[in-house]
Amino acid sequence: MTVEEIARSLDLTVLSGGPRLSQPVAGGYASDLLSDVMANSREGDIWITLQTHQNIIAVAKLKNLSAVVLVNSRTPDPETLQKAEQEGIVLCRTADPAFVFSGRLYELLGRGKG
Amino acid sequence: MTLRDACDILQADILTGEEHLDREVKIVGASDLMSDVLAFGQPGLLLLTGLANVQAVRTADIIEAGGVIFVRGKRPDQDSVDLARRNGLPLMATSLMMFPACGRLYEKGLHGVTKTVSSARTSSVSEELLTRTFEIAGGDFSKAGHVSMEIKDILQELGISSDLIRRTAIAAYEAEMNIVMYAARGTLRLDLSPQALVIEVADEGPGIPDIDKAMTEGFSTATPEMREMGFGAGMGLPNIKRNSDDFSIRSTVGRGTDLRLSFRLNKGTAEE
Repeated sequence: MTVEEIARSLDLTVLSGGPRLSQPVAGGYASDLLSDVMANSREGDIWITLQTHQNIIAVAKLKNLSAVVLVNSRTPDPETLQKAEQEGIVLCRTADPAFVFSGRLYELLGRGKG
Repeated sequence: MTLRDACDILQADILTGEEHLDREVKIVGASDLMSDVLAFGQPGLLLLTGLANVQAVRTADIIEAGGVIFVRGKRPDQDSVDLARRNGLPLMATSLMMFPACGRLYEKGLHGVTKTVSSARTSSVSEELLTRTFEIAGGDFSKAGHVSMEIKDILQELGISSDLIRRTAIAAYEAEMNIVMYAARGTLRLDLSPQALVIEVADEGPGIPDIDKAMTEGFSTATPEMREMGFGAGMGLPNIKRNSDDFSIRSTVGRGTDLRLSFRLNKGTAEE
């Protein structure tokens, strides 16, 4: 499933798009600790967080994440959005809290089966 | 479901609170930032977090969480476990990452936090979250700044936003330096509630005869020694005021000076 399909299915607001929208999503990673995401996320993961600082874009780029989803309707800092556009990182927003969005994505990716 | 069911679903170990595992769970909050938990936490909430320290336990206790499950294999230290035990807060730990932990509980029908701040609850517990009092010795320049650094560490562990930490640390540092420079001794008290962070500073010092003048940028009574160390440029009190959301000062000549600074948490969300 691509980032774009997930964004559509889960009613994400795409704040910054780009070519990565058509990339396949490997899984989800929920964390608000940047060091943890650096250490434990995997390539192609959608990162679910409430952090809005521009450093999230650097982390997403370094780890080759498929998208960053800001929860609780968080608005990114202006530099974050600008950097996301510059670096071609998909940045989205959901009104859901982290637990709910993680749960919906988990179900959509069929992680509960088997 | 009960806490015990949640524990089974996540294959979590019970660290403390076995006797409370029959508690009903309906709502789950997943966050590593305690400021977020403080803003949106609800009584009875099951908190999933990767922040395994005493602040997570204090925060969970303050929001009256039903229990805490630490994810990513994180485990809090013994002091945190003891604190939770004393407060009847069950602690569990799973090696699952946050995402699958959320997924497994969500698919069993648990709900997320609705985004409202319960003012009744938050005001009733606002005294309890975190209160620390620090002693500051006048004239001891070797230790000057230690209290502010400690406050900064505490706030970082709590996941307070970096802008707020910066402003608080600046104000605390200025206040700390004023005690070191001018007073015999003083105390700095940090109070954190779900709405605000409050710093109260009281010193036994010379007092300030003209507060308006002291609040003027550039006005200083610093000695040349103080200036050599980079202080006494007359920026202290104005800087404290500028960095805090609310500032009040009282001073009695010959007795001392009291400051009260407050910093609003979660600007833009807490006012609704």
